[in-house]
Amino acid sequence: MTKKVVALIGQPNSGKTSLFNALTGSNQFVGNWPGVTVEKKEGLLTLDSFEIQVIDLPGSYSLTPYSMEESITRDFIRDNQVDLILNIVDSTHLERHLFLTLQVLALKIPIIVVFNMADELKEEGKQIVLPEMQRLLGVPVTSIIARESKGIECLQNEISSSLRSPKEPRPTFKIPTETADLYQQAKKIEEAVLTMIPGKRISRWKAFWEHLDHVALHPVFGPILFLLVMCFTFWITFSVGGKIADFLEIGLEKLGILVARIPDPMIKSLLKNGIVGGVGNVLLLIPYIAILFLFFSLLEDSGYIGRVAYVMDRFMHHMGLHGKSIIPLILGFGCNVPAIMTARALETEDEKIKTILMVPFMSCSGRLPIFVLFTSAFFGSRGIFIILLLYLLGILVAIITGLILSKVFFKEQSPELMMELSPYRLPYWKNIGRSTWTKVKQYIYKAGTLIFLVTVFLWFLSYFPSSSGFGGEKSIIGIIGKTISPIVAPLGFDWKMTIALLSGFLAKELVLSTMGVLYMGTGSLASLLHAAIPSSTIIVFLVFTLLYVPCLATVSVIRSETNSNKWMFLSIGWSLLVAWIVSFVVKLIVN
Amino acid sequence: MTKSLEDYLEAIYFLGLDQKVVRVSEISRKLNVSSASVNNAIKELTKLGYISHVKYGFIEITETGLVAGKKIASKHHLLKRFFEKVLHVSEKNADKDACSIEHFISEESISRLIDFMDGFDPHESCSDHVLEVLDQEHKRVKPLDRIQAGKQVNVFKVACADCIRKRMLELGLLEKDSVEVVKNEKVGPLIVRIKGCNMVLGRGICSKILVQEND
Repeated sequence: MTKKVVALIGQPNSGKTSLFNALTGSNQFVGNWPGVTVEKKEGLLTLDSFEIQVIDLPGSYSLTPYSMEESITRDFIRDNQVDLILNIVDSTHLERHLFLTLQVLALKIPIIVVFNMADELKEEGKQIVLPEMQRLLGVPVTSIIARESKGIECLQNEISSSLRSPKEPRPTFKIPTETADLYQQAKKIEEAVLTMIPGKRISRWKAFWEHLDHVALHPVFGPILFLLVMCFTFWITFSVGGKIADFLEIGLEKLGILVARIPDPMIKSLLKNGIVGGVGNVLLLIPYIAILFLFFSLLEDSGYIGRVAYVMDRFMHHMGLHGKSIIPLILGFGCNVPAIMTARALETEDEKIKTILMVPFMSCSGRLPIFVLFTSAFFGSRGIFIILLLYLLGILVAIITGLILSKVFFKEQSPELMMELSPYRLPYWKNIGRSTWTKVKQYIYKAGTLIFLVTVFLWFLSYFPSSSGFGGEKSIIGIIGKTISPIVAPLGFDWKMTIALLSGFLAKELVLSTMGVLYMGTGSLASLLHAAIPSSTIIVFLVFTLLYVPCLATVSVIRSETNSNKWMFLSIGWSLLVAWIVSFVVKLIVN
Repeated sequence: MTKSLEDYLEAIYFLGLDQKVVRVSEISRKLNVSSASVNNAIKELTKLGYISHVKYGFIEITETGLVAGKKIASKHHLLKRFFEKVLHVSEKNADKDACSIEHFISEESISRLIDFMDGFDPHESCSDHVLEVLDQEHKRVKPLDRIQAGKQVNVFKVACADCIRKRMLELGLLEKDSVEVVKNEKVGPLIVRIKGCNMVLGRGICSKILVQEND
């Protein structure tokens, strides 16, 4: 086996990641907005006698970088031995994409130019004459539909023959160096290779998308549409998710009864209190997570999210941010960690840090199960309004955080928006299904590893010394809880809630499983909690859970993305302070 | 105003005719002087209120500056035409002599000369007419953010700060190319169609992209 390095280069939203997935069989996330890939990703591909390391580089308009993600691409090409470049080109925007192709050709590295989205070009009634393109550029060319993995075999053949006998590009023209000349050359090529398909009509969808944009980009209706879309997303999440979760709950209760028959008291207690009560309750909420992520994939895959950035730009400017920052904030509803990484695509450091510090207040899917379980136990069908209020509170705190940051730390005006508006695409179900499944799998994995281990550990602390009675005040956990609970006592939390919040720092879902362990008795967790905690306290508790320190993974990604301890500690300190104050105020109001 | 300051104002006026904002480097190239002396002149002219907004090496001419500049330029044009058309002086010398005389000639002589030239060649009336035409062209150059949605315009000059300018060129916003304004809502960013791609561009960037409306 010979080892080779193949790099994928292309402009933003040209379909590099789709091609990467198709080539390597990995499940990297694909979206329809520029800047999905902010970091280079690697995958392996075995072809003939080659072991190929495939590198997916962030999208770049030009080889001279403008933002941080773009410099990753340039630095990689400069500093590494790349055997072959796959330059992926959006066939529907040939002239602009060929601009980058020409720059890459000048590097004199063997290259295959891959024309993606041949289907969309066809919709426009056009096609590329590949042999002529091959002759002009003097490199192998091929055409694919990356989203549907079409044309991949053909490309693989090209890759292996290029690796066997690498050839420098031999274009039929001299590659210019000036931007304007490069474009002129690109235009010439485009004119030479594009032909009309006779008798082809332009698709109806195009007109429909244009109508949609009249609303989606309207200064008044645009934000309203966005609000409606978000409300619809959450409504479906709760209504459909709730129905499915009910079924699962019946199963979980049966499991509990089954476990209760085990004779050995210690094992019984571990299974019943630890596993079923802790991990089981976390798994119960999978339907909510799955539906939420499904909708987020839809938002991203269709290209709608870019429109949101445009219509919200004016609003975001009040916080010294521009519209693009709203993308990480919305994604924060899914999971804070990738959302914070997305902030890398923002042009300036100030904006990036501001956005990163705002994201943790966007209520992530890890907090959702806690809200769902508690509100349905305490408020029944009215619970959904409480959840809505909690989400709004989170957004409000994020906005206040943004305002304070721009008044105190970053006084400079936010830079100007400069972003490509990607065309709408019909969601591709395989793509959406795959990305949703990946997220659900991560959630199950988390429940099976971190949450499982911590739950068992907590059970252990609650069970011993065995004379103390499970989860009693004299158990180890009781003593720990009692020691630290005075900090949150003014908010009305008992020591069990304190412990739950403490373990919630590792992962927010743990708040739930910890409560499951500590309040375990006979009957469902919901009814047990209802009996043990007054409903006014539970609202305060949920507010605190929403706002206090984001989970460990989020904190560490804040550290790595801002590259400073200062911002990490500021984020932790600020969120604790806000959580305490807001909770206290809420307590006063509720009472 | 001294002779040399008048020269500067005239140069700025002429450069401004086809691009609205003018760079210090362009002035020093046109007058063949160092940029330090250009900067000194700019300070003087700013004090006199003829130019404004000196930022990142860009200069904008004020309304008073425009009138004063136009006056000098029209004297120049008139004198040059007199030397060329009436006295049959070579174009190069006509231009050079006009440049020297324009600063010192009295108002009375100028108005007599206008009358004479109008009588001499009534078809091509007074120099002001020519300047009016130039001025109209000047007015047709507008910043992109003042173009209504749905209009096609030609890019005249991308006068943004260097790094943004470079990026805009790379995105395909080339001078002389045609672009379409897709959305312009008075506030907030614009959507501009460049080479078949819809780009969202901040209003501030657009205000520095000068375009010419098609007829």
